[in-house]
Amino acid sequence: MKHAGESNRILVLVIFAMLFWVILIIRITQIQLINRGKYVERANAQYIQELKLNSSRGLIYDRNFNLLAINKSVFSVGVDVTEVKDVNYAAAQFAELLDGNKAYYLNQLSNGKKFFWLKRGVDEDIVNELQNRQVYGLQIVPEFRRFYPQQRLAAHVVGFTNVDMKGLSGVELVKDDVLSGNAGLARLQRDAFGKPVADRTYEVDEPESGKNVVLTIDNEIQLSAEQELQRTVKQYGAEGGIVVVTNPMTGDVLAMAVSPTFDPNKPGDYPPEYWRSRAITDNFEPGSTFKPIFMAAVLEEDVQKPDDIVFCENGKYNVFDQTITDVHGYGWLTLRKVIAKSSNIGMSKLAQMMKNDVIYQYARAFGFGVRTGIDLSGEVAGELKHTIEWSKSTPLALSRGYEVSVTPIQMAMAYGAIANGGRLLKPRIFANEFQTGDAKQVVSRPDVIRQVVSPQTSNILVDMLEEVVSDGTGKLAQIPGVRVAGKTGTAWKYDVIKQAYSTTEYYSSFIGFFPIEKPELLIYVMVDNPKHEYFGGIVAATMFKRIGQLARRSLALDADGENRITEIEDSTEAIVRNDAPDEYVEQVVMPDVTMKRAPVASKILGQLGVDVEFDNYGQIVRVQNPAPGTVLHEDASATLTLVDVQNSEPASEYTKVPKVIGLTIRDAMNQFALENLHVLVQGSGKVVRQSPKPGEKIKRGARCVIECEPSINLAEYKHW
Amino acid sequence: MNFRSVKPSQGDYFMILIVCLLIAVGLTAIFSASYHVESATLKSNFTKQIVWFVISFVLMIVAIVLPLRLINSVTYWLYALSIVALIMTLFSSRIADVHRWIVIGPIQIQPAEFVKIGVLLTLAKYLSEERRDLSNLRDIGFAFGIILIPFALVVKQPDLGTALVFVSLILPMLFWAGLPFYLFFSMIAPFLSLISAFNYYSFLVAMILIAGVLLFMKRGPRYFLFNMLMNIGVGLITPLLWGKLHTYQQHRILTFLGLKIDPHGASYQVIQSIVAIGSGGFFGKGFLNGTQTQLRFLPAQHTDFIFSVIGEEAGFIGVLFILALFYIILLRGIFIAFVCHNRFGSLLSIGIVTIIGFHVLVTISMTVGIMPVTGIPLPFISYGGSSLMANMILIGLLINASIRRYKY
Repeated sequence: MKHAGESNRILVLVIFAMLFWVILIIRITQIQLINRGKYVERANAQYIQELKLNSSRGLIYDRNFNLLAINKSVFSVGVDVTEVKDVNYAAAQFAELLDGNKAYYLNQLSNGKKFFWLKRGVDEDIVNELQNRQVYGLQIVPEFRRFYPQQRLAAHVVGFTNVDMKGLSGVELVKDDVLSGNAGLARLQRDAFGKPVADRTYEVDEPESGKNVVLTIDNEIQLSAEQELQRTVKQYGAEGGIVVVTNPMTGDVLAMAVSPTFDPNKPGDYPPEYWRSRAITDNFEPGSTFKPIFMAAVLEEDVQKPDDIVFCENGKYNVFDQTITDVHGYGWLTLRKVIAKSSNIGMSKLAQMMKNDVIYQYARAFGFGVRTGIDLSGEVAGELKHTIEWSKSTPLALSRGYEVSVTPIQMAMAYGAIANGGRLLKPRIFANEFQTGDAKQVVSRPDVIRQVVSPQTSNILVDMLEEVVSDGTGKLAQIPGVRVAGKTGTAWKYDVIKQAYSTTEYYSSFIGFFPIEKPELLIYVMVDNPKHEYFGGIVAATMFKRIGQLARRSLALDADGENRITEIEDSTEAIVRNDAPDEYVEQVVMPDVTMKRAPVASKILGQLGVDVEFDNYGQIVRVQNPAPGTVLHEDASATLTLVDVQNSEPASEYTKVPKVIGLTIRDAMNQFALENLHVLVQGSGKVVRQSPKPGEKIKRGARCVIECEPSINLAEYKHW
Repeated sequence: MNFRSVKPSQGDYFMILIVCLLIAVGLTAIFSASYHVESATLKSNFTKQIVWFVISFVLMIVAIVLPLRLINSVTYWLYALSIVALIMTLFSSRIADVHRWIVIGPIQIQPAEFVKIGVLLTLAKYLSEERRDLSNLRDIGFAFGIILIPFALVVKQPDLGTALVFVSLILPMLFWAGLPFYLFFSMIAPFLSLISAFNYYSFLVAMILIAGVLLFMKRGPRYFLFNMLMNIGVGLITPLLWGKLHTYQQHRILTFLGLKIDPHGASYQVIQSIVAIGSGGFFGKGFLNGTQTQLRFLPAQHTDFIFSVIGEEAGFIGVLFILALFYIILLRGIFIAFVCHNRFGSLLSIGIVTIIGFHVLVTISMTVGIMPVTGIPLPFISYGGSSLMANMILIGLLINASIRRYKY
C-alpha cells in the first residue's frame, strides 16, 4: 500500500504489537515463575482435603492388668421409613428391643418424615436381633463407646468420658492426652464439587493409638474396700465414707473408695456430687487421728521423751476460758499412754510446751495445707492457718486435730511418713503407660518429697501407735497374725450454718498400717456421721480390720517380690477376673488372630469360650469378625475368613481393586482386607462410590477410599 | 502484474502450518479439559472440534481461492446480511439468558463471529475507495457508523466482549488508511479521559496532558477548543454511563481495577485461572495432570479459560510457544499489509491482524488477571465451531491478500 509515511506507520503497528506481547510475558513470568510457590500453595489448599483419622483410645488397667476401661463397638440405629413394609410390626419390634413405647415409634414412622434415628449406642446383639426379625430400612452406623466392664469399681479414680470419648473426670480426664493418642491424617484429592478423587500418591499419617494406662490400684483390694465401706455405711446409716489404701513404702494408692458412688457407664443417672472423688476433694477436721502428727513434732524437737509423764487433770482441764475433757479421766500418763488413750488433756499440756512456729513447721512438713500432688483432678489443699492468724488456744486445738482441715489422701501420706521411717511420699496413682503390644509391667518408684522426722522418731511413733491397737482405743483393729499400728479418731462435724460444732454428728475414723516391721498396707477409713455408734475405735476400726484382712489375703495371692514388679506376657490375657458374683459380667476381649493358622486361632478363641466359624477354605486367617479389641459376651462367636497359604503370601506386589459398590461397609472392608488393601471409609450406609475404580491394578497395602451413603439423605436430619 | 499470473506458491502458506499447530495445541487442551468430565456433551467436545476443524479448513481454502475482487464486489451485501443476522439473533430464543445464537436444527450458530468478517470487509472496502478523504470528518464519521450499528446490536445480546472487537478495528484501520496524526490523537484522547474520569486528580492530570499535546499539534484554536470540550464532556458523562452498565459488567470492571474484592463473584474465575497458571510453573504439571483443570476448579476451561489449561499443564514453556505462534501470525500479517499493493487487501490484512491480536490480548490478559473477564474465545484454541470457522476464513483471506498482493 502506498501513502505518506507508510514505513513509520508500519513501525508504530509492530511496536504496539510487541508492547502488548511484552506486557503479557511480563505478567505471565510474574505469576508462573516469580510467585509460583504462592499459587502452588493455594492450589493445594483447594484440592487437598485433610481427613482426621480417629485413634483408638487407650485402655485402663489396674496393677494386676485387669481391665477397668475398654472400648466397645456399638451402633447408631436409624430407620429409612420409605423402606419399612409393615409400620405396625416395625414399631412393635422397636418398642420391644429399644427403649420407648410403640405409640411413639408408630408416630415417628407415620408422621411423613423419611428417616429418623432410633437410638445411639445400641449393642451389637440388639442390632442383630432387629435384623433377624426382618425389620426393613435399618441404617446402622458403627461407632465406639467407652465401657467400664467393672462398673462401679474404682469409679472415682477411673472417671468417665463423654459419648465422643473425651475424658471428663478422673484418670480419663487427667490422662486424656495419653489415652487419646494422636489422630491421623489422610489427604484426599477433592474436585471443585467436593467429590473425592482417587489418589494413591499421598502418604497417610496413620493415627497413633492412645497408650494404655496402668493404675497403682489393685482391683481386689479396691473391691474389698468398696464392699466393706458399703456394708459399714449401710450398717450405721451413715451419710457416706471414704477408704484410702496405700503402700506406705512406695506411695502407691492401692484403693480409693468413696461412698456414695456411681456407675461410670451411666454417670447421668447419678447426682453430680456422687462423681466427686471425695478422698481428694473434701477436707474436714481430723480430730484425734492428728495427735500422732503433733506428737511427732514433740518427739523430734525433743521437747519431751516418750516415757516422760504429763498430768491429765483427772479428765477435766480449764484453760483459756475453755474446758477440755477426756472420755475417761486420767492422772499422770506417759506420752505413750497419751496417744494410746487419746488423751485430749495430755495433748493440750504438750501443746503449751511447743512454740507456735515449730508446730506450724511440722504440720506443714507432714503435707498439711498443701496439695499432695496426686495425678487426679480436683485435689484441694485443706486448711492450715498461718501462725499470725492463731489465737492463744490454737496450738491446743491443733494438738487434738481441730482448727486444721485435711483431706483423706493427706492423712494417708502423713501416716505413711510415720510408717516408712519418716519420709513423706507423693501419692502415686499411675504405675505405667504402655503401647498395646509392648511389655506390660508395673513400676514402683517412690517419689520422696522430704524427710519429715528421723527414723528414730518414726520408730517411737510406730511403737506408740501399736500400743493404741494392742492396748488402747483401737483394739478392734487388731488383725490376727500381724502386728498393727494405728490411731482412732472421732471428730465433731462442724456445722457451717450454726457456726458451731455439732454434738450429735461425728466423723468416725481410723488410720493404721501393718505389718509394723515392714509396713505394706496403710488403710485410711472414715465414716461420715454414723448413727447409734460413732466412736472411731468401734465403727472405723472394725471396718479397718475387715479391709485389712481381705487386703492381706489379696496380696498374699500374688505377692512375689519386695518391689512387686509384675511382668505379664502379652498374650490373650483378656479375661477379667473378679470375685463379685452377680454384679460384674464376665467380659472377653477379642484377640487378634489374623495371619495365624486356623487351628491355632481356633484354639486361642476356644480357650476364651468363643465359638469359631470358618468362612472360605484355606489355612490362614485373613479376616476376623469381630475385630480385635471388641468386647464379646460369654457365648459370643467369631467368623474367621481363611485363605490359602499361597494366596496369603502376596504372590505379586499388585492386585486388583475389588468391586464393592452396593455392599455394606463391613462386607466392603472384608473384600479389601482379602486383597491386603487399606480402606478409608467416608460416610455411612452402603458403598456408593469407590476409588480407585474396581479392577484397577493397585499395589498391595495401598489405601482405597470408599464413599458410603445411607439410602436417604442424612444431611436432612442434621438437627439430630 | 496481472493477478492471473501470480502463482499460488507465492502466497504465505507458512501461515497454514502455524494455524494448524495452534489448532493442534487447542485440541490437546480441549481433550485435557474434557478428560475427567462425566457429562457426555462435554466429552464429545474433542471429536466435535475435529469436525469443526475439517469444515473450517475447507472454508479457509475457499477464502484463499475466491478472487479478492469478487469478495470486494459483494462486501456491502455481506454487511447487510450481517446486520440482518444480528437482528435475527435478538429475536431468537434465549440460551443461558442471552440472545447469542441462531439455532438451525441441531446446530447453534453464533452470527457475531461471522459478522466480524462482514464488518471488517466493509470497513476495508469503504476506506480503500479512491474518493475517501481521511481528513474529512464526514468520511471518518461514516467509517464509525459502519462499526456502530453491529456494535449496538451485539451489545444488545448482550455480548460486550465481542462488541468491543468491532471497536478495536476502527483505530488501526483508520491509522493504516492514512488518518492524519492530529485526528488520530483526537480519537485516542477520549479513552484517556474516560479511564481517568474515575478520580478527580487523575482526570485533572489527564486534561493537562491532553491540552499540552493538542497545543503541540498547532492546528489552531478551533481544533484545540473542540477537543478540550469533548474530553471534558467524556469525563462528565462517564459516571452516567457507568450507571447504565449491567451489574455484572460493573463488578467485572471494579474487580479488575482492584476496587472490589469478591472471591466468589466476578473474580472467582480469575483467581482460579491465575492459580492454575501460576501453579503450572516453568515446565507445567504435564498433560492430564493439571490439578486445577482435572479437578474442575478452573471455570469454562474448554472455552474462555482454555489458556489457563495450557498454562497449568504445559507451563511457561507452553505459554511462550503459544504467544510466539500468535506473534508470528501478527508480524506476517503486518508484513502482508506492508507489501500488499492494493489498498483493499492491505487494509483487510491489518484488520485481520487486529481482530486476532485483540482476541489473543484480551483473552490471555483476562486469564492472568490484568483485564476484566469479557468472555471471548482464544482464536484457534478455544472450543467452538463458529469461532474456529470465522478465524480460519480470516486466515484464508490473509493468505488470499498475500497471493494477490500486486493486483486483485
